[in-house]
Amino acid sequence: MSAPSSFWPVFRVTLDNTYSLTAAYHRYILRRERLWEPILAGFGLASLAVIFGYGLYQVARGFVSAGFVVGQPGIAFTFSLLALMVLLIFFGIPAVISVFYFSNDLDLLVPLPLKPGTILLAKFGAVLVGEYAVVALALVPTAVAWAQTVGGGPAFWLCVVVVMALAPVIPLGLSALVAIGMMRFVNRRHRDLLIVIFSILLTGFFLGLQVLVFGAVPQGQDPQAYLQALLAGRVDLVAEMGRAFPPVVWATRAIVSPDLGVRLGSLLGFVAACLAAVGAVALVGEKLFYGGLIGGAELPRRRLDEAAVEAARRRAEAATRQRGVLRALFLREWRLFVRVPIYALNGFAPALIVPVVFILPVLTLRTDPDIERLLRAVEASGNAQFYMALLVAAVMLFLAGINTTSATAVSREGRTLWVSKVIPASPAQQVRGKLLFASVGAMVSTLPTLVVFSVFFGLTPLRIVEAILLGSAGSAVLLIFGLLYDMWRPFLGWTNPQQAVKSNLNVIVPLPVGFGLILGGLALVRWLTGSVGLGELTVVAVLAGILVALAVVLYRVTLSLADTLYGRLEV
Amino acid sequence: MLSIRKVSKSYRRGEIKAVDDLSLEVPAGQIFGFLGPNGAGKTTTIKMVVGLLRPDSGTITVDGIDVQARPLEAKRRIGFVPDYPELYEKLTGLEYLNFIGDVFGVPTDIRRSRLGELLEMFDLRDAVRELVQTFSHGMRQKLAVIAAVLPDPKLLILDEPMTGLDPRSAALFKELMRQRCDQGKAVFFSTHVLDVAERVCDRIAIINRGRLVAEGSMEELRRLAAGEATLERIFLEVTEEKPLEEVVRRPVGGRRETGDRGPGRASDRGPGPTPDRRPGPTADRRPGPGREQD
Repeated sequence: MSAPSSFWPVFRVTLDNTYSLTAAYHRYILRRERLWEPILAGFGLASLAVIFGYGLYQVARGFVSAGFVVGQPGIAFTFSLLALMVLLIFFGIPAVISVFYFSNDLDLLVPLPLKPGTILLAKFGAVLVGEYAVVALALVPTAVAWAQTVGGGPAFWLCVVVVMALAPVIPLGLSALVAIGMMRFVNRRHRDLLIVIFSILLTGFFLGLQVLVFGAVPQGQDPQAYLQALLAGRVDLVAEMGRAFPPVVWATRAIVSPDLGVRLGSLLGFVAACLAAVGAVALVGEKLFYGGLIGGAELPRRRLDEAAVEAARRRAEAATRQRGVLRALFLREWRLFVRVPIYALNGFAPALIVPVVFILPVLTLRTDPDIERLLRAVEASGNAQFYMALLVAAVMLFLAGINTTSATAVSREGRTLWVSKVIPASPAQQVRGKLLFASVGAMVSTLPTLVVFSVFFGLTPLRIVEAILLGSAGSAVLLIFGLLYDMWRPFLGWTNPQQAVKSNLNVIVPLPVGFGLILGGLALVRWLTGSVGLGELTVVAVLAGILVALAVVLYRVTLSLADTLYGRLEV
Repeated sequence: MLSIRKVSKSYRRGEIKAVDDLSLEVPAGQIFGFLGPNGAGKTTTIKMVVGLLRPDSGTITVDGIDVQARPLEAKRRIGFVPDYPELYEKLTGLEYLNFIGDVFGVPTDIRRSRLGELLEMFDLRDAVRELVQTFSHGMRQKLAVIAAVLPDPKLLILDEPMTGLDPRSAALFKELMRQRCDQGKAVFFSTHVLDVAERVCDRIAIINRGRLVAEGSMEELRRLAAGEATLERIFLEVTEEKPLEEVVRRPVGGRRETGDRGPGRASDRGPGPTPDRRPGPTADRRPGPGREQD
């Protein structure tokens, strides 16, 4: 029997193991090694937080004002909380499965005299802690916008902090329940596929919601006015949402209600809902966690009829056909990436989300009189298509910048790196295999963007070719740079796959390079078209030439350094 | 087949010397057992041979090829099974074996015939189409062994290969090692199972604190260790700083558990005379710092 107090030691050790806290303490504090890493990471994350936070703050201000106009002041918090919760459910499922079922400490924890629920809750807590950055990004801008508009005293900020602390509990609790059920009852062979399908469906739901809310702005109507009309059209949108998902409304009222009684009651309701979610996770976990865990480790033998045996034999025969080394390396990368849901989602979900996120503002803002004037001016300038092609190329670069395929290519090998070190494939060959996979991944990721933008802006074939040329060359630079950096400083000590991509600082390294390329490219375009007076085609050729040259040089440098960098990796 | 000459390896910028001026020769056609207590430097040595670690000094050659200067050619001649094989969880066993076959350039027909035999031998024919994540430790070990043997390497290097193998598989594996040596290939393996080493190995080397303390055939070792009958006694003789009896005199909890000094409470006895400690075959008992890896 595990004592109730056993939760805290298990939670501490799980938290440490999940985020490598002791390892970081030893490296950065005790040994003072690679101190530039946390500094650079902190700077990068702070920059991103400021950029995204400011954008969200602007949106939140609009919502706060609109909320007051239509007599529903809390709507900004309701939307923020709802969006946050949907996002957390979406990314929560693979994260929860990764930490719950594929951590390397399970072999140590399971034999200990601990209840399954204790282990599960400790792991749940560890996942929860990891989501607070997202929670802060979602709610702080709204809170600041509210405080600026309405004013916020200590009670307001106290409630905001409590709500923020509890906000991820319910969505992650739902993710955990889905994950535990799936791992316990779904055939092991179909689990990964189901996780991906489920996550894609949730993405579709999330995007569909956005399109419904933002994309339905009628032609010629001011979106601000439309939003107000939309909100005013409902008697009480907050209450309507509350019927669908009451905790969001309780959390909203706990923060914004002027009535102290309502505020306290709502806060208690929200806390109770969170406790219920934790209780449900503990209860279900107690009953089902070990079943899914142990079921996942066992190998059920399938009874096969003769035809199935023959089919399997033919498949095995086909599979054992000799392939070239590069193809074998590529296949390894591909299979290992797409079969781990957390990798696949991090790698490919942005491909679906980004085009919509980029298109939505255009859809909504094109009716804004100022934007309309700007667009008309661009069109009148005669080179709108040229700038749209550049925009598409820039979005492709952005996608390559956030692509995890190459920036974690070596890190993802983790403890299996020994295989790459002992096989007779040179580091240069392995780099080629990884880059080939990353390039295919990037192509797949950028395809939706390319198609959506080309159709939406009505790009001519020539402009599409220009966009592909510039986008591909720039993406190649970022992919090679990401791989080079990951080869130099891989994060191999991860204990579950989630860490390899989500706790890996190497992921953000190519992003500033991408921004640099975009800004540098824009400056160059401005100079070449303005001061130098070159034609559009020539400018594209010059830009493409520079990017291709950069990519070739970087590629050669990476190949020449591969031996040294791989050699340095000792496992 | 394998030549290790004056190889040293330190960790933490020389603070911890894991392998210290080690020299070994593993001839073709022999099974070579590599023994040592925990932290002696066995795994570090093996990792340097297969290219997972770089030696600080010294040279390692496989079939006459320097593993540092021409690593790919050396690797083509080596099959390796680590002590705990971390394999690709999301590949099926067959996909993993095919990956190994592809990177070693094993032709289709040879691959099929070898895989058929090996999978049958190790009873993995059915399971090989499942994801590795579903494999037990023993199945992973068997898969790693099959992957190591599939390219038919001249030198098989195994770090604790018997761990996790069931008795049948262990027996088959020993037979496989013998067959390979009969074909003029070599096997170099580390183990803690001294009975296996004693029965299977043609030659044995014992390493302690990173240094070679004994090497030879069982007969040679017996002679060197002044007639100690078993490998276990020889091993303890050449690796223990203190006599075993002294170490186990007061077991954890204070109660005497073992002792060939007669009955009585440990506290009743004084330190007693130190038994005669004969020097080992190479008489190298220099104390060294702690070890980071085996």
